[in-house]
Formats: sequence, C-alpha cells, structure tokens
Amino acid sequence: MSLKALLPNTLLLLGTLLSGAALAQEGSHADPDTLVVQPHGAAAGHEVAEHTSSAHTPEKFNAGKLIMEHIGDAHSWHLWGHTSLPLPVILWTDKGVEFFSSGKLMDEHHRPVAYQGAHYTYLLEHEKIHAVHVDGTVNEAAQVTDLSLTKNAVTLIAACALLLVVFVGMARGYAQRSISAPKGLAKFLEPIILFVRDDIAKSAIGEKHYQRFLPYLLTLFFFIWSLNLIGLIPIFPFGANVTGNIVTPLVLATITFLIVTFVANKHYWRHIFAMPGIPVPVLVILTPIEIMGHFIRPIVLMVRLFANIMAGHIVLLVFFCLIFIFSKNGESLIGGYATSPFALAFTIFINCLELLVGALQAYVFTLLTSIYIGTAVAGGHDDHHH
Amino acid sequence: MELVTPPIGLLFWMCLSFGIVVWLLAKYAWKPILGSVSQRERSIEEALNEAKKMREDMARMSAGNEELMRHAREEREVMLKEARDIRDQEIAGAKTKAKAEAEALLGRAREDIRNEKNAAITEMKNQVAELSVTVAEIILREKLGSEAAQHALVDKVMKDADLRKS
Amino acid sequence: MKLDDGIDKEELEEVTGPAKSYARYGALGIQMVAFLAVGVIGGRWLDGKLAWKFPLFTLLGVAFGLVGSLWFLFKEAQRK
Repeated sequence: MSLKALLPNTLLLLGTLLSGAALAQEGSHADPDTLVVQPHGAAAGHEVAEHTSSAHTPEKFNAGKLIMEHIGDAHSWHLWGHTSLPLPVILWTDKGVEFFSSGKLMDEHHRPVAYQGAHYTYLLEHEKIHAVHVDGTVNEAAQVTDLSLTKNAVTLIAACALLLVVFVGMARGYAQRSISAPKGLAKFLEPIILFVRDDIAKSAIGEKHYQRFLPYLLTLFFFIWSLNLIGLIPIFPFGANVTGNIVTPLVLATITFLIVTFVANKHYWRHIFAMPGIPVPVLVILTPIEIMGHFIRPIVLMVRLFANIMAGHIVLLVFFCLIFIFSKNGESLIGGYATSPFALAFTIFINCLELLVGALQAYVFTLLTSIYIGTAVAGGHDDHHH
Repeated sequence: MELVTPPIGLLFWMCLSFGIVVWLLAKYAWKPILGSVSQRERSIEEALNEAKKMREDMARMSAGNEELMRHAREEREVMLKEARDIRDQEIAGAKTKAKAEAEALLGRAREDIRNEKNAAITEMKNQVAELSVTVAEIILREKLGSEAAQHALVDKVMKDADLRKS
Repeated sequence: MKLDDGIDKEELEEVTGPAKSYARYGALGIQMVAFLAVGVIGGRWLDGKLAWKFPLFTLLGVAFGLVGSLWFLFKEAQRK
C-alpha cells in the first residue's frame, strides 16, 4: 500500500476515534425529563398536545433507533448531546411557500412542538412534517410538500459546491500552466481522472463514443466517491449518509437509464426486440425478458450502491452499539470497558474497509453505467456478445 | 419500507444540484482539464516521436560516419602501401645503382692497377735493359783495365744498380 | 509500462481486474435476483387483482424470472 493510500486511512482512523466520543454521548442520550407540553414562544396558543410516545418515555438505549436515526435524514443536524444545528425548512403548500428554521419545530429538549406558519400549523414527527389542526390531528386537506434543506440536502449541496471549487480550480490551474505537469491537488486527482477516462469510459464504451459521456461519468464518479467519504467521517460537517439514501442511487440510476435509452442505437434495440438468429417462437419469450432487462439494469445499479453503502453504515453502527449493549446502557461498566476495545477495533477496521468500499462502489457504479452505455452505442461488428 | 421510499424534498435537491453540478463541471472543469491533459499527452507523444526520429537520425548519421571512417582508413592503407612500394622501389633502385657504380669503380681500379703494373714492368724492363747496356758498357771499358778492376767494377755497378732504387 | 505519474499499468490492472469482475458478476447476481423478484411480485400482484383460485400468474412470474435470470447468465457467459 502506498503512502498516498495511507493518508486518507489515517485521517479516517482519527475520525473514527473522534466519532467514538460523539456517539458515546448519543448513546447516553437518555432524557430524564418528564413529559411536559410547553407553549412555544411566538406561536403561543397554538401549542399542540403531544401525541408521540416514543420520544418521551424515559429513553432506554435503543440500538435500532440510533442506527436508523444515523442512516436516515434529519431536519436538524445533531452535533452532540442536546445540541443540534437547526436547518432551514422549506414547505411547498397549496397556499404558498413556507420558509422557517427547523429549530421552531422542537423545544430545547428536542421534543417536537407545533409551529404556526403563515398558512398552516406544522408538526415534525419522525422526521416528517405534517400540517396539523390545532388539536394535533393531521390536517388531511392541506397539501404540504417538504422541500426542506435537510441534513442530506445540505451535505449534498455542500459536496456539489466542493466538487465545483476543486475541479473548476483545477481547470483554472491547467489553463495557467498550459501543458506542464500538474501540481498540488491536481497531481493527485489527475491520475484518477485519467483512470476514469481510460480504464472505465474508454475500455467499457469504446474509443469511438466514450468522449461524449465522459463529463457525466467523471461527475458521477467523483460525486459518489466524495459523498461516500463524507458519509464515513462521523463528525459534524460530515457524516450525512447521502449515498446510502435511496434518493441518490435512484436519481443517478434514472439518469443512466435515460442516457442509455436515448443514445441506444438501432443495433441495441434490434437485439432487444428481435434478436437476430433467434426463431420467432423463442422471441415471444425473449423479447419481454430483454425489455425487462433494459429496465432492471438501472435498478441493479441503484440497489447495488444503496445496499452497499447502507449496509456499510449499519455494520459500522452495529459494532459501535455493541459497547452500549454490553454495558447495558452504562449500568455495567465492566461490560462496557471489556467490550469497547474490541468494538472500537472492529469499528475502525470496518471504517477502513468502508473507505475502500466507498471508492469501490463509486468505481462500480461508474463502470456499470459505462458498460450499459457501451452496450447501447456499440456497433454491430465490434461487440462480442449477442 | 421507509428507507426505500424516496423523500420528495431530497429528490428535488438531488436532481437540481446534480444537474447543475454536471453541467457546470462539464463546462468549466472537465472540458478544460481533459483538453489540456490530452494536449499534454499529444505533446508528450510528439516529443517522443521527435526523440525517436532524432535517435534514428543519429543512428543513420553514425552509420554514415562509420562508413566515412572506414573509407578514410582504407584510403590511408592504400596510401601507406603506395608509399611503402615507392620507398622499396627507390631503395632497390639505389641499391642496384650503387652496386653498378661500385662494380664500375672496381673495374676501373683493376684496370688502373693492371695498367700501372704493365707500365711498371715496362719501365723495369727498360731500366734493366738500360742497366744491362750500361753494365755492358762499363764492363767493356773495364775490360780495358785489369781483370780485377773489371770484377770490382761489375760488383760496384751491381751494388749500385739496386733494383729497388729504380 | 510506467506512466508519467508513476502508476504502474500492470499493478493497476491487478487491482482493477478483480474490481471489474466484482462489478460485473455482482451486477449479474443482483440482476438475477431482481428478475426473480420482479417475476414473483408482478405475478402475485396480478393474481391479487384477478383473484383467481389458481395462482397462475405467480407461477408464470416465477418461470419468467427464472428464464430471464438464466438468459442473462447465459449472455454474460457468452461474453469474452
């Protein structure tokens, strides 16, 4: 393993160690406060009776809940203990757009409270915002679409901004240096760009067509990779599980599907609808299968990325949660101390593995996209499969 | 099931931001980066080709040099050989000439010696003849004296007529 | 061949080779499962709609899924 590869590993190790502290506080997040409904500042008089039970029973450590919270999306960014960063809530309702801070939707103990917006009263429950009546029942008539900048959305936009800054900056550097060898970050990134170009795009799509798809493939690769890495660093500005959210693989696979569908040539469609050299009775079975295949391949792409990243995050968290499970939520210190080195070691090990998996999944997604595009644009003579 | 139900909000932001990022990166990042990378690759390739061509030229040139050197060497060989031949010829010529001269000299010397010898013999003959005449003359005159005087005279004459003196 | 950035082509191939196979065959596996799932779910849904006594479409769906996954397995095997 070269020095280049060691550096991010070391960083990740550090991140994992720090995450221990962050998660430890999370684990002991037992809220001793009793259930109190408090009137909420400006929206006084519109307070709503709490009807969520799970959030307010004295909490026991619940590994499943913790894991789900960590891999899921959130309207506020949990920093440590009882501190979280409120994020902007944007709601598209049938009466107009609403814009307010997510801090308005919970009290200082992180319990959901209703907020009177301009058009409706809103309640955040299980990370879903509903329009509610004054008595706390869901207002079914109100049409509310939640376009909030959630933790994932913010991370996503930040990652996009980061990609833009890095690569546009890199391009600027290239323009200045003209054809001399790359320097700094470009020196590290250029081989990767070349790798995507030569080893993924050119080899899978072919010399003739690959250049057209290169911008998409490069963006795809770096987008997935960066978000995977961001998801692996478990401290504040990072940690959002964007690629492990169904939306990312879904959108990316859909784009790939659209590209394949639109660029596919006659040869590709003929092989789907009327494969040459196959008798008609067989075609009756084969054609639906091939059509199915056309739709299933992007689904495979999606499932793969989603399942891998999701599974990685879950495994990581499970190992970490072992500490709390064995310490019986802090009651058995011996259990906690005895298991924590092992659990921590495993967590670190899995994190390193995930680092690899993050890059590998970006590679796999890009490669499979290239292969699908390759089959769609391949000519009749130079491809080997039938 | 909640995990696999796409939330509309995130879906919206995803489509928006990914669309924008693809578009912006394609326009302001990938195009210039790939452009300059391929330009660099082209220039490297050109440089490599150039170097290859140069190497070939060099090889060709050195082959030419070799030829030239060989040629020069051959020429030198020829010239040296010629020079050697000429020298040998000259030496041989000189030798024959010297030999002939020496022969001639020797011949002349022999002739001279023979001539001198002949001359000496003739001279000696002449002197002997003259002496004989003189002796005869003196003897004749002495004959007129005493016999003893005559003998003494002959002895005296004979003593005087030392052959070596003449 | 050594590239100018110091990456060994063969060394890279050693890493990407298995990764490529992993991508391909992993995708194939998921595709097979997805085919079966689509067949079963689609068949069950149709049967639920039609409410016949005999779950004909579930069986057909299973058959469809099986044939489909085998067909793509066959196609993948034909490659190379």
